[in-house]
Parts: sequence; C-alpha cells; structure tokens
Amino acid sequence: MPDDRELWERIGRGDALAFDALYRTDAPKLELFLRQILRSRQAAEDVMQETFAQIWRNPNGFEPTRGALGAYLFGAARKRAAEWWRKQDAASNRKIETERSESKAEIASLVGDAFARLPEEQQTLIWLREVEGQSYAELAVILEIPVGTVRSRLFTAREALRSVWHAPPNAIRRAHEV
Amino acid sequence: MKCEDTAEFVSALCDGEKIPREAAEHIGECEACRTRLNAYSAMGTELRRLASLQEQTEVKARPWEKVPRATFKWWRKGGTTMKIPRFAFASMLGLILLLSSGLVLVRARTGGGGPVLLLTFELDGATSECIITTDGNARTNVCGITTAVRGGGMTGVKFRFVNREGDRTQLGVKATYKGNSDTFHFTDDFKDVPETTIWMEPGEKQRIAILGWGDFELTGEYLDYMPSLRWRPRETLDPKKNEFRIVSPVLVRGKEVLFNLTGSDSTDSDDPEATLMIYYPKEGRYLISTAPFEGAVEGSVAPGQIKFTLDGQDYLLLTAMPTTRSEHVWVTHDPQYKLSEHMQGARDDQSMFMVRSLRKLQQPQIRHIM
Repeated sequence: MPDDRELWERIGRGDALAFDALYRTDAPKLELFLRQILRSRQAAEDVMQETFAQIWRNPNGFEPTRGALGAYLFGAARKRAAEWWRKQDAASNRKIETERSESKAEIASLVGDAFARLPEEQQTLIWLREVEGQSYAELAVILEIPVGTVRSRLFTAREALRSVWHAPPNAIRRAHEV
Repeated sequence: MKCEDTAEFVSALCDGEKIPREAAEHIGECEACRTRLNAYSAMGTELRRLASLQEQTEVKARPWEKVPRATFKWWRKGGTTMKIPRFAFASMLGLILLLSSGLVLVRARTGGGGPVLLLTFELDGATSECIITTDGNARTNVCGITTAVRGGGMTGVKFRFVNREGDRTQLGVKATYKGNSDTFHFTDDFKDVPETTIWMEPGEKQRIAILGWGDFELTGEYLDYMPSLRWRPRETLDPKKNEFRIVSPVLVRGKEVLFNLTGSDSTDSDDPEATLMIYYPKEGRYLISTAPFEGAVEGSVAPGQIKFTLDGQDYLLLTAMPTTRSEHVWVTHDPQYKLSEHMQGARDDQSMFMVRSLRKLQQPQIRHIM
C-alpha cells in the first residue's frame, strides 16, 4: 500500500487506478460521516461524490506535512457539506428534522438522537474524534483551527452532548421550542 | 484545583492526551470529575456502536477519466471596474509589491517568456487581485495581499510561482491569520508559515484555507500582457479622480539626485487630501499633498513629474507613471524628521514612502503595513 505522499503524487499525475483505490477505501467512511451531519442519505452520497470528483478534477491542497490524506478528505467533505447546507433552506430543513425527532420521545435518550441535536461543527468534531479516531492535529487541519482550540471545542461539544443526552425528553423539547 | 478548572482536561484525558499533574491528581480524587470522564467515555462508546450499526454502503464504482480542462482565456474583456470596499483596500496599504524589493512594476508587455497570471481573491466579502508572472522572472513571480478582516485581526496571503504545465500553473501558497493585530509584516509574519502547493487552472474556483481564520475563494486567469498596475490590474495608467499613485520616485534638487527609490503605493479614490510621504535617511521627510495645508508651498504637476521650490532651491520629483489628476500639489520638507520616532518598528537608516490621507500623516504616530 503506498503512503499518502506517494499516493497523492500518483493522483496528481492523473493515475486513475491510484485515485480509485483512495475512493474505494475512504468513500464509505466519508459517506457515513456526511450522513450524520447532513441527515440525508441521498445528500450524503451526492456530497461525497462531489468531493471526490472535485479532488480528481483538481488535486490541490493536500500537504503531507500537515496531516494524513484521510484528514484532508474529511476537511474537503466538511466544506462541501457546509456549502450544501447553505444552498438548502437550512432553517426549515432542521425544523423538520427536529419535529420528526421529537415525535419519538422514546428514543430521545439515545446518544444518536442527542448527537443529532448538536450544531454541525460539534457533530463534526465528536464524530471525527470518537468514530474516526482523528488526532487533535488532524482535527486542526480539517477544521482549520489551532490545536489548542480543538481541545477546548471538543470539551464544549462533549458537554453539549452530555447535557442533551442526560436531559429528560420533555426538557429537550422545551429547549428546542425556545 | 477545582472541578471547573479541570473539566477541559477530563475531555483531553478521554482522548489520551497528556494533562497537567495537578489536574490528573484532582480527577483521581474527585467523584464528579470521574463521573464526567465516565460519561464522555460512554458517549464515545455509544457513538462508535451507533456507527457500527449503521449500514456502511458500498460505494458505486465509477470511472475516473481525465476531465476536460477549462478553456484557456488569452484575452480578457477590459473595462470592468474592480470593486474593493474601502476598508479592504485601506488595509492593503503597503501592498503586494513590497514582497519583493526593488520591483520593476511597469511594463507594457511581458518579455515573451510566457503569460501573466491574474489571481482574484474573494476574502471576507471583498474582491482583490494581484499578478504574478509564470515565466520564471524572480522579480515578478510572487505576489500577496493583506486584509483587515471583520471581527478583528489581519490575514496575509502570499503566492509564489513554482511550475507550469500547459494551462496549469503550480503555486506555493502561504496563508496566515494574525488575531488581535492591525499590522502585518510581509517578511516576518510569513517566516514560519508552512507553504502548501496548489494547481491553478484558468477560470476554476478553489478554496484556500487560512489557518485559524477560515478560507477564501481563489480564481486565476492568464493575460498576455503585464498590467500597468500590478496591484490593480484592471485599471489604466491614468489615476482616478482624487487618487494619488507613486511608482519608483526619483527626487532631484538642482542637479543633484537626492534619492532613487523603487516600489509603489497609492490611495484609493475619493480622498481629496491624498498625500505622499517620502522619508530618506539624512534627508528627512517630504509631504506632497493634493490639498493645501499649513506651511506648504505650492508645486505643479505634469505627467510623471512634480516640480516645486523650497528655500530657493528647485526640486523635480520624477515618477514612473502619472501621480494625480490634480494640477497642483502642496509640499513641505522636514529635514529633522526621524522615522523611528513616529513609526513603530521603523529605523532611521531606512528609506520609505507611502500614500495616505494628509490627516493620518500629520499625526504624531503613523502606521504602515510593511
């Protein structure tokens, strides 16, 4: 298996096989991540495809000294996801999702439901740290923030998740009605 | 240590990060902190379980064929006015071309070594442009820009030509953010910034990250000529109304050349008190303004020349391009002026010139983005 630098150099030279290897390895993880923050299977697939297509058309921006190729991919996908949200009527979409979730009080105590209530940046941080195992340095590259800020924002995100997770269902509902 | 002091370290500990000894001791003894640690750990476990339960779809196989490149634009329709908000332009003072000292700024055409790359930035709601050449000319193959961003702080972006393959140009990019600062030093503030490389293609948009701040949109296109003004490439040689430009000034007193400088600066338009300040070691400071002011003598303006008389001696300021549409200027000379006393970080043995509003230059302390 080539290392990130070698793989990237091959991609930069237009090596379709090298890029396909990257796609097959990382696209499923990327799509799963996008599904969490976009809350739509179709949108996640579209954004994932766009992310890879853009990188293939224009293999720019990855710098091996700043982090792993995987981190770069998540960073690129995160930006595309943010663009996707901007293009949507985000406010109404989120409202629909919230109402849908609240109608199922029985699952409100599950961590997944609590997670869905967090802002996207906090979701991104927690998912990439806890599920993808990205390091603080990689998270700094993905989110374009200093490493010290990663630590404080992760703490804030965990606290937010903990407070929603442990709150009783009606308390969660009240919070969203405000 | 109290729980509120260690709370952030509990999160860091959960990630396997090293934490201060005092925090570690407190967490070991504190029931509430251990509960928090257990909660974080349980949340992580639950999330990973959730991820495992979710179906990880097999991605659709797709062909990765070479994508056709965007059409190469040799000519660009002129006449489009560059729109730069004042605050953004004001923050660009000091400017692009200080990046490489002693620039030869003005050329009618490139020397046949290849086209010129016009880079357009959309940063913090403002549009800016700069020019680099892709012909290997070390004097013109770098450009950059600083911007005072909303919310405070300065961003600095610098581009360096690396390589060119057909329509694609490879650039080295340094992008950085200085929070809580309103100055940016092109040499020092880029020193420790890592350079990344990107490939530019004409007309294609891409986003460039500025560590600690966000990102901006960059596009590029090729021109087959060097614009008269590298820092405002869509503009003509003729200054705008109430604009003052200065490029490579040479000051002659009688028959003696007092100084011969390179570089450039300009104000934005619509400053009726646009004023040039030139400082030269042992010569002191000259102020040349388009507005009359106390103690100043009147001088006359011709294309590329400003003439005035001070203390019975005739002066001729030669510049590489027209400076102002005004027919008259007002001039003072202060031979005792010490740059170090009026500008933070400046030395008295360095020459410099800049164009600002008269009011700013008359203040006891003046600022300069260097």
